[in-house]
Amino acid sequence: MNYARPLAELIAELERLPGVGPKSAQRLAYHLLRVPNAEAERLADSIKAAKSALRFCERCQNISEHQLCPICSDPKRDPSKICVVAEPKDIQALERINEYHGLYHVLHGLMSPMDGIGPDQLKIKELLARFDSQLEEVILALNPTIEGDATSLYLARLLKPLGCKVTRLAHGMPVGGELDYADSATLLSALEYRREV
Amino acid sequence: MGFGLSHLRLENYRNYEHLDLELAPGFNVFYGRNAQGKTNLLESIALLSTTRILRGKKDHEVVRSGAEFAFVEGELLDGAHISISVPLSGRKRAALNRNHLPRAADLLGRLPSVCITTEDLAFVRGEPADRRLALDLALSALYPSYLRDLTIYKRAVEQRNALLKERDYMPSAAEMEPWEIEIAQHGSSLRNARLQYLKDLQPIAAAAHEEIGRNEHLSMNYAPCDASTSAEELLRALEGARRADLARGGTSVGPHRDDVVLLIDGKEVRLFGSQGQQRTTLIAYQIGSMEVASNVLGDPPILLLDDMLSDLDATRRKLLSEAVSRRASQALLTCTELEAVGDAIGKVAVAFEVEAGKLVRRN
Repeated sequence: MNYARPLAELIAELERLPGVGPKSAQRLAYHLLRVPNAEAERLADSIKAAKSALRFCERCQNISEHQLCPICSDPKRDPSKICVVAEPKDIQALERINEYHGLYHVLHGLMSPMDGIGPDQLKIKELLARFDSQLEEVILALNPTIEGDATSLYLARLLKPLGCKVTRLAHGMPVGGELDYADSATLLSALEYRREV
Repeated sequence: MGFGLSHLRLENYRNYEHLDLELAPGFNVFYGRNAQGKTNLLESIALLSTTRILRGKKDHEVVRSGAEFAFVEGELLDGAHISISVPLSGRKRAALNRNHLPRAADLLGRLPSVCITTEDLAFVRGEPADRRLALDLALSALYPSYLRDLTIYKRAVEQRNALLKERDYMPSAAEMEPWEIEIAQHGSSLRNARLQYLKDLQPIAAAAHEEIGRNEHLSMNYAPCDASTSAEELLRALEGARRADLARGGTSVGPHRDDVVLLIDGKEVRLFGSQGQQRTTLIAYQIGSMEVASNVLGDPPILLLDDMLSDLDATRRKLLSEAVSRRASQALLTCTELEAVGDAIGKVAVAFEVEAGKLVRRN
């Protein structure tokens, strides 16, 4: 199809976004052309502002506006616990349940040699630098995949000798799920990690 | 209630545009000339049972030409419905009582089967990979934990191989270790399950072989590629192999390198067995796996026997029909001539003639 060049470029840029295919890119581009200038500029400005104003929190490596993110700078958070997650979005998930009041650490990925990701590509040195006398527990909240488990194993070997408790999230049945339709792997680990009632 | 299919429905499956078939709880014989769809019918049931089609074929090949997807649905003896739809492009999806399952593999175990076809002769005369695949399929259908161990194991081996490939220096021990721990834990579970399986199967297969193979003695031995017998030992074997593995660019120890050695009267069947001996070996092994499966599951799995009778001489054929009719509950057999099934089965079987994707009941 012959698009005017700026339109073709816009579609090409949008197509590079995760989860956006050629059809959606085309729809988004036409939508942006139709909206008032002010609205399109607001989007452009917010992308620019986010890119220039955001960085990694010095402590937990979450995405942050300031040197320290709101969680790390909140005096009410419990500094004796650090919950290690793979991605910033995992923090949002854990914060939504409103039960955990410790600190976080974002690895920005999981170990996967097939994808060229080893320990050096993750924020592990930064995690080790956070060890101090008040730290009592590191909670590994990584995805229950092989890569998540291998990363947990790697971290546990590294962290335990430093003298703090290392725990990981339980694996098991989704709440409200039906046993008959659960996938076997989930059911197996739910059985393995069963507890007395 | 045992395992079995009371009803089979096919839509756009290979040469079947549409098929609705009531199956007998016991023996069902499908006969007719070649290339009419006998094997396709058995294959569709094997797909429901194992979520895989025959060796070396792509899933989308089962879609009838001109159609968008193929659909197979079976009604089990307890009234449950299981189905698989295979699109021309994209992933196949499985459903239980018309609710989609998260993964096709979650269907495994609903309709356990033992399949004996000429393709399965690869177990006897093929590569070690063919024998491992046969064990992996049989054990995955019996134990979901085996399938999980296998999935994790394969991925962990790939990850360790990625660390070893195209490098001229040794990755750090700390970096290798997490993958080796996963390989060792799940790998030793796989190996133990295979060893136990063959140990249970061996005496049954040997007895069955004596029946149908004119008193020749069959033995089958699991042949691990290294001497480790526990997760700890396998972990040490992996550590010990690091340098060599770096040079070859892959993991050299673990159950993905093991084999099964089949012997008749002490001679390797793969190399020295006659055509007939290779067939009796496969049949004896599958009779063994049927009996092990019925012990584990509480009921015998269904038996799919594709065109194995016609190549046997009359005596062996008779012995095989007798051996099978004693052990199986539901069995589906194909042959070109109805007479080939022999009296033991012929007397009790329901027979269907297959012609150009259509079935006609003949008794």
